[in-house]
Amino acid sequence: MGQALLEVKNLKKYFPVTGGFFKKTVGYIKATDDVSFKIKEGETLGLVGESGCGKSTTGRAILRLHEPTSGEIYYKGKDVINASKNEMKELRREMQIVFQDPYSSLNPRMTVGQIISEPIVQHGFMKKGKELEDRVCQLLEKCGLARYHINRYPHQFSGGQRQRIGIARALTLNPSFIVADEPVSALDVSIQSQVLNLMMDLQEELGLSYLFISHDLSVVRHISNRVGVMYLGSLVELSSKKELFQDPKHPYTRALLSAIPVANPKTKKKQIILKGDIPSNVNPPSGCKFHTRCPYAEDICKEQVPEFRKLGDEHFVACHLAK
Amino acid sequence: MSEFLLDVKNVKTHFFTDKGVVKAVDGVDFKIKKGETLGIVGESGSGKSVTSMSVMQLVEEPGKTIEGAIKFKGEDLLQKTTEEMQTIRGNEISMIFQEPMTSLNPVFKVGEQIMEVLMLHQDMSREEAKNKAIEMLKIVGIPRAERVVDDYPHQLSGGMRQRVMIAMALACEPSLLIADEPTTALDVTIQAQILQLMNELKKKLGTAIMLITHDLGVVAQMADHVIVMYCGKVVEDAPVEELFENPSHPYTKGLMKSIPSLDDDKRRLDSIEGMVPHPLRLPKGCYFEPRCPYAIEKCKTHKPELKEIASGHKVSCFVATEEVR
Amino acid sequence: MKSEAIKKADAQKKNEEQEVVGLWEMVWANFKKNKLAVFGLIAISILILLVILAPIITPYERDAVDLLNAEQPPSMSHWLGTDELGRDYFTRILYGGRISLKVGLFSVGVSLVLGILFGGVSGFYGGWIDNILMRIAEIIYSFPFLPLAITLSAILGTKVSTENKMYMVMVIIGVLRFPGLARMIRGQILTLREQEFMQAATALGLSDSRKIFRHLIPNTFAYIIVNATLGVAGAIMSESALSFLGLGVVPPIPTWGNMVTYATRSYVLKNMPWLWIPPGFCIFIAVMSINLMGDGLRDAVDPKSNR
Repeated sequence: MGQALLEVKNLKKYFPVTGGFFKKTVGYIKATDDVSFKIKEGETLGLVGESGCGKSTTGRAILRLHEPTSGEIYYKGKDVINASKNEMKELRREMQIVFQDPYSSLNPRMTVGQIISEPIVQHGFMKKGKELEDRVCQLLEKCGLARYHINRYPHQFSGGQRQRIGIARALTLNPSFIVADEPVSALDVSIQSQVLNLMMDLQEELGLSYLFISHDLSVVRHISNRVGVMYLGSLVELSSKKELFQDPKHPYTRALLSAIPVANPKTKKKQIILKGDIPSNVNPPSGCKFHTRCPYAEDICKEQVPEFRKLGDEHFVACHLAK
Repeated sequence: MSEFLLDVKNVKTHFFTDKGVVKAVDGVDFKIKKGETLGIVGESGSGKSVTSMSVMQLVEEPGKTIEGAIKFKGEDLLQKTTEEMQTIRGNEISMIFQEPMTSLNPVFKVGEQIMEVLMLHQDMSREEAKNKAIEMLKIVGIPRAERVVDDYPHQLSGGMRQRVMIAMALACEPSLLIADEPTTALDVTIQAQILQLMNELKKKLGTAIMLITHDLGVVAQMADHVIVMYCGKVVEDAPVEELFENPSHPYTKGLMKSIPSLDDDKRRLDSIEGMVPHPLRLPKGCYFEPRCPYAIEKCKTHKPELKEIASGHKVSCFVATEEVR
Repeated sequence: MKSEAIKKADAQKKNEEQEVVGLWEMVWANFKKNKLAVFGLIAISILILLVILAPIITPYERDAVDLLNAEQPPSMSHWLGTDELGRDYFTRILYGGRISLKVGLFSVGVSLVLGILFGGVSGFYGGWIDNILMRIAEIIYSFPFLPLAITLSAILGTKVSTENKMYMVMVIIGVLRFPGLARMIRGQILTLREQEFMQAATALGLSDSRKIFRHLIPNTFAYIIVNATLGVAGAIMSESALSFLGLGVVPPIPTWGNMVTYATRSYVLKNMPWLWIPPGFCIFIAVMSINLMGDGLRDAVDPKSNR
């Protein structure tokens, strides 16, 4: 694995909350709040967390689908945030996204062929004709679909097949980095594994790097090399997959791991059941954002924001008490 | 009265659409003992939700339960009139749904919604009902229950709303609770809370639970007995430990292998090839045959029936039952 | 080995041969179930056919004066009698229908173009662009229709020929109707632009105009067509009202609207019912059947709206 393909530094994305008659900004949803990480070439970084933790926003802010509030993003050393319109169009060829919802992510008024050929034509790679059709079919077949699917509309496909179309669309411009935003969450288990296998095959064949966003720890564990855990807009732990699952340092990671129901009735494992709900990210708790639910919280946690410390090789934790 | 609380026999619920008859539930048998949790597992389109709707007699047009018997405490629910069913629903059998946002009425206070059930079924006065509502909210672990009764649903989080749903469902102390994907819309840490709560309440109140889910992990933790459904039919029926130790139907096996596990380090996942057949173009023989890696000639032409292969363990598969013999 | 794979693919394909139902097929299937709507469709189709085939159906010319046979009641040679200049009234009804329907279609065309542009652009960009465009639309929307139309045609009416006046009426009706359509399209686009396929379009670096006109607008077609259909009926009514007041299309060009004007003369009203009942009836049939059809279409496009 080579050097950093993507580098994200102190990324913040705040959404204004408006209220009152004149739509004054009364506060901010701190969806992504100071997140930094790197992704190496050919690597998969998994990003896990519960709803509202900002994992999707982070993924989309990297592609500037949400304009970041502040921070720095470098792709192959190129500044993404300050890229001009034309530079951004170039960059978009390299960085793509696959969405969660197989229903809303495909335009219902376009055939599969149109969906996949459009970006190729728009970026001036090919003109309409036989060559383009061949390229589209090749992409379809690569993603486990068939030639005869080309003239069909999205609603004629099952959820799993739609997700394959979404993946094929992301591959049209030969990207090297793909943000996969919960790509299998809406699928049935048996279909989920097909799509995960496809994504791993494509990674091997095309040398792709993924930012794989999911709420499902077992899926993330399966596909990732490194894993980041997010809570209320911040990364709380980041490490290699092996370490994270064998030796989780952050209490939240531990609780998250223990909360997954295991498909074996005999292992009645001891669960850490967290108290209470996830706080609002408009007014997150002071100090460590997790202290309201943390079973080990001490006074310091309420007052000081924990630093994202290095604990061992490539293992970072934001917790005052972790050792 | 038999030892079974609910005894469902050969129930068929079909949907008569313009394009043909969709056999959403096609001859399903199962039994639930008092205080037991039955898990119904299946993917989308397997008919697991329609099964629960059939028990509640809430199947909507163009669907109709055309055959079978649903014996609840010895009486056939299919023979009941609409009025009689209304006194059973929410009272003796109640239900919680997947989406706690849409299953609570947004314009009424949560307390009112719980009180409504109580006043309707238990003839309570407003005063009594309100006290009972607060008590129920406390039982399901809602902090500051006295204040929450006067909140509107949108003021609560998803986990809290699901707790309110459970409180409402259990208010009349039903003997059967039907939970249709109760935790699918919730986060893992909240799911863990709700599942723990359901287990505690089951022990405390002795309520039997019919738990419908696609998540094998949830089933493993919650259920005593499991049925696996595919295309409107039960393909496997076994006690939970037996099922996970010795899955016998190729579909069940495939499902178990395709979950990414937390302690296994395989690179590729096993997956079930192909996809669920279209409900109007079901295969002639076994419905799973086109996707089945073990299929033999007979599977293409004949439909297998549920046969017992071990005590309490039934499978609907020629290959699996052949092996035992 | 290979034949095995092909067999498998074939089986897969067979399994997938589901009802490949397009949106319009679904709309048609739903539409067919609505008896009133089908009746509307048939009625308006017959009317349109009659109007188009006018030269074949009647031997008379539209403006041929025959003073000897003026004010004849209906007879075998003149099915609906003649007017005060002896023109065959049935013929004039048919040709009048041409104008009325043309006004309806053309003015809806005007409001479609404006509505799609305004609604599409302001819904997509939002912010100050949206603010300006929608305020303009609202100002036009808040003009009282009749006083404005009366003023406009009074000012412009004297300077233009009768032929051009007809087009002017079409444009006035179209412009006054577009804000409703623009608002509807904008509303649709506001929800559509949050869909993930739009984010995908951004991620793929597509241009704004492509996103608006290739991705967003086609997704509102169903609603646009319903709105346009109902709009035709409205426009026919508006034209009739204006022409009835003598401010729209003026004789000798016949329209159903200015033909009903005969009813204002009490002598005609009492003694020559064939001069005002038929055009009134035609307006009624046209507007009612288009409305029935439009309602049916709306329910067919959005089956939830009716339940």
